[in-house]
Amino acid sequence: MSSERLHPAAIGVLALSALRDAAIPLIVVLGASIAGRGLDTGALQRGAVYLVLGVAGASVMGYMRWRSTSYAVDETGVHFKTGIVSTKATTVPLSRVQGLDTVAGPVQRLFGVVALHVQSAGGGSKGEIVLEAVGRAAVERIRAAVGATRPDATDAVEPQALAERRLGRRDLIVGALTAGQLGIVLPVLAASTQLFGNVISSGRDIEDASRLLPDTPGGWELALAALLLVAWALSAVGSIVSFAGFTVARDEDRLRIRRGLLQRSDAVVPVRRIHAVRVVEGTLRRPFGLATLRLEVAGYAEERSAARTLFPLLPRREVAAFLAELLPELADEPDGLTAPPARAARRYVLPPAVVGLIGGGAACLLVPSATPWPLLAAPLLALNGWLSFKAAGWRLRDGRLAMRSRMLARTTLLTPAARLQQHATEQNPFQRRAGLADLAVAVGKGGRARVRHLEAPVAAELWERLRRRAPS
Amino acid sequence: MSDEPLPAAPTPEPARRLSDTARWLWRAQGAFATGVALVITGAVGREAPGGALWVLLPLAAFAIGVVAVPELRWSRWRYEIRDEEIDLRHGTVTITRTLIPMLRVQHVDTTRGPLDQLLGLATVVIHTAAGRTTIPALDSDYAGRLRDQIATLARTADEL
Repeated sequence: MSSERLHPAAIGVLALSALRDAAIPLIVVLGASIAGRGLDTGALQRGAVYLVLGVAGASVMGYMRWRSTSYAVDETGVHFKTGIVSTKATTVPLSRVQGLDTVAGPVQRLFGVVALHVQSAGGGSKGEIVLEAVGRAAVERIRAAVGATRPDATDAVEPQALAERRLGRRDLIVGALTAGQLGIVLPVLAASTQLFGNVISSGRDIEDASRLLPDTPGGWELALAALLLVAWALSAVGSIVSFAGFTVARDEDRLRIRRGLLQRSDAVVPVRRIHAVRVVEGTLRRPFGLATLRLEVAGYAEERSAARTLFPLLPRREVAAFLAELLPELADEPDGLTAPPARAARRYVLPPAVVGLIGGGAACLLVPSATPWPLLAAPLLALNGWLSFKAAGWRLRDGRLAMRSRMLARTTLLTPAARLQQHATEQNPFQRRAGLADLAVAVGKGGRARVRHLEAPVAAELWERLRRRAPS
Repeated sequence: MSDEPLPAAPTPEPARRLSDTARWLWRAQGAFATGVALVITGAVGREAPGGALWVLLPLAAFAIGVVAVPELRWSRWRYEIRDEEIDLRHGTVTITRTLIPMLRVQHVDTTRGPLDQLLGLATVVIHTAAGRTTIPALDSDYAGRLRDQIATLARTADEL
């Protein structure tokens, strides 16, 4: 195949990305000029001129980048060349192509084309090739060329899927509303601002306090609340945009994950590259028994976390059945784990409580007007520790390892023991005296899990059993 | 507890040690850190109440950072390279026992910082998909051979 240009729609895509890169400096320039001279017709005119210049510049840039970009596929690999000033040529050998993913953003859909991501083994975000806009016919040609040597890297003409799951509209909304960890931040912040307000209005050391805070306490709280509300709304919108129309299908030895509202992405993940599944129960989802499933994939290009989502929202009790259907290689039950010994409970609770006490005490010394409220950190952190103790657990059965721990979200890692990258036991001096130990494992591309304060002989036995699971 | 059979005998503890010179490397690093601490406390201590007592702080830091920690760290560090795995045991405060299956090793290199070069030492860095693990402060010739040995074992164990 001789070297080819991208579809001309790439001009639009590249121009938009150039504009996006330039957007922040443009906004800063605009903002500075408005701040300097105030918002009047002159400023608006200048703004319009900058905008036109920016768009024109970006279009020229997009055109030049399109002109200077070409690709080719032959029996040796996928070749890609780009660069206006200095040319950069990339070749991914056919044997290294792990997947061909298509993504259709708004511009691409306007022209009926897709962006094609050539995923390579062990490649970082720079190792892969991205063809910004190619026609359907070209995609088929590339798939055919790659498929001849690497049948697992391409999806042939829509084979019958073994199983498929879609995210319903209701679940999409529920998932969006419960996205993020703000559920715990909001009430804590609301309570603390309330307390702060009380301290100030009660008139103690009012001068001290007013020196620390901006103008009126009411305005300050309101601004913070508004900020949090905006953050929450943004995370909800972001979740809808990422996960609308989420579909995951199993077809032979790969998973096909399609998702996205504005930008439709269509990813194919070879099952043998999936090293673990994480069952993540966020603070807002936990009370409703809902969870998100995430993938730990090794040797795949860096992706945002949305791209590593196996399913955005699922009742927790359905997890085992879901995995058995779509990913039997890793299927396991997230429940029925063995907890750390009861005597470990105080080790989960006391250290954070002491830290909270010291931190709170220091805060009281520094800001006497706030006494004794910062000391509340101690019971809060102790509660957090207690919840972490209740969440912790492990199980090794039939070569499947399950480990559960909790930061804010409760996370259960499910992985075949043979897929571990490494595992370790750890003991600090206190644990050595008490005969306890931590167990820590690493999976996939940097995923880690740890269960704290197991009985030392139990941890040592686990270490041995994991060792004897020779990787396959 | 579960249906898996217990392993017959526990894995023998790793036995190989780092170079004797490792202690000097860490002492030098500790001395540098405490030197910085000394300068800072010297500057602050002149103003702060308590005067000469502040000198005790860097002295304690010296005793810990230059005398105790390098010795403890050296005496605790053990490693073992077996055909199918790398077994590490180390830590001054927290003792960690790590096992890396040879199959998971992607590549191995040796690195030498300026102090390493001065003392004829090198660090072996083992890369897996999940990150890097180091065996520090080995005699540089020996580190090179160890690197080649691990690379060969990783290749024979590898098929991906």
